[in-house]
Amino acid sequence: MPEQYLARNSRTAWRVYDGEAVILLAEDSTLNTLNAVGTLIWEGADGKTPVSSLVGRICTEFDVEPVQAERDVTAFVDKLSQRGLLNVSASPHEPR
Amino acid sequence: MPELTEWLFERSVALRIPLSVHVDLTMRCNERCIHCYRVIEQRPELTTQELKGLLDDVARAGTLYLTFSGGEVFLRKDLFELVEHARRLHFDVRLKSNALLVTPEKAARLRTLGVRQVDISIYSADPAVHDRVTKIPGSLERSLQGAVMLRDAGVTVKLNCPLMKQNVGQYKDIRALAERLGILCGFDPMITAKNDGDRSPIALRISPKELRTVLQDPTLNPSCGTPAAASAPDGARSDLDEVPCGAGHNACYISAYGDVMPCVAMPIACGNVRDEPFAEIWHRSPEMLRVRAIRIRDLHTCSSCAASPFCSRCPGQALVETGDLYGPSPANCEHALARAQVAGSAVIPASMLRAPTASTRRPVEHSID
Repeated sequence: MPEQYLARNSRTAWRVYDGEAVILLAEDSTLNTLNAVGTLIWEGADGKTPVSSLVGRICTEFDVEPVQAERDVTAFVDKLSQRGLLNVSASPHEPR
Repeated sequence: MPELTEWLFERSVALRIPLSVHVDLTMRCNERCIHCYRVIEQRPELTTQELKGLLDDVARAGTLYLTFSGGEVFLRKDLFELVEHARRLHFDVRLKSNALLVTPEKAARLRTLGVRQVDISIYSADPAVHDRVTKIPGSLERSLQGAVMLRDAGVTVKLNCPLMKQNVGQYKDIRALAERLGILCGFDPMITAKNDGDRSPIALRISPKELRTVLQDPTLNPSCGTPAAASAPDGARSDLDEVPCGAGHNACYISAYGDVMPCVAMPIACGNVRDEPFAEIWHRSPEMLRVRAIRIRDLHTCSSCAASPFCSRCPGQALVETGDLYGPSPANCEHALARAQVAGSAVIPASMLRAPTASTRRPVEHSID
């Protein structure tokens, strides 16, 4: 599977409270909350870290099998991309 | 309040996180509004570096919602440097401005930086009325031009209109103007005393009759026409252990001079960021802790007020109006009475039923002199 890179939408505001991210999108002022796994992905979505590295961290930190972790990350990224919170690209780049 | 917003509010109160911080970047202004509550002092305002350090501290404390206000924020030459720094720290940034100094380039830059909203003070759709409030000829036209530039750049714009004697008859025209421009608008019938206790702006408040008229408009008062909220006849409240508001719990104000207060509407200086770190003031200032300890049951008159379902009591308002943080705000009581009447309820605020006696009054612990 080709490598992917995730970048947070530059028009989001966010904080992590007690290990859970709270994200606000400027476009519609909607709030989103993420669980601990989602927060790990969100914090790692710096445009430079490959998704495979995030999957590896999830396996280590949450004791999950790689296949399961990869499936969960794909579903999560799809959902956040649809909401306009994450951008996915095939090459690394500096966040704007 | 939407469910997630309510959850975040409660969680931030429980975790002692200053979720919303209002920072006045300057007290200087290019308008001279007749109702303004700001007081210009001789002390130097916070520098760029001091403000950047403050934003670092406030981000570490967990603040999400950051409002830059003043004074007029565009008079700060470092405004964009500060907004850029704030956005790098992932704050949700909102500006309050009169938009007189907005240009298409500045509007585009705010959009690029991810500023969520700019609130613009507008007092009338009639230039003569608006300009009489601001005391600046041509200010309405220029503010609206700024609003359009921001809108066209993709920034959310809201026209904020305090209602006072001078403009209370104009609110429908302002709403029509906002609709025509495709931007938001909001109205506030509460005019406050100045931050130094000068009560002169209070004379500008609309009359109880005018207030009832405004509250009868369902577009301004969404609860108008809905059945009156239930309140126990004896005034017994079920929220006695709750906090009166977010001031000092998850809301905080920092003046252009570095004073930290529980809220922009509550002028109790708890410390200054030039003397000690923000977190130290937020977590350990005796004044902040005293405000944070207050619960509804500690309010000597409001805790047994049958009109509480109609009231949005502001502790800061009570303090500024009467010097008593634990007592009712006469202005809030008037608003509660008007809301109750509009809703068809016969309840009367407790403060209007009996004057507090020496034995029921708590000592005044804060004053603004």
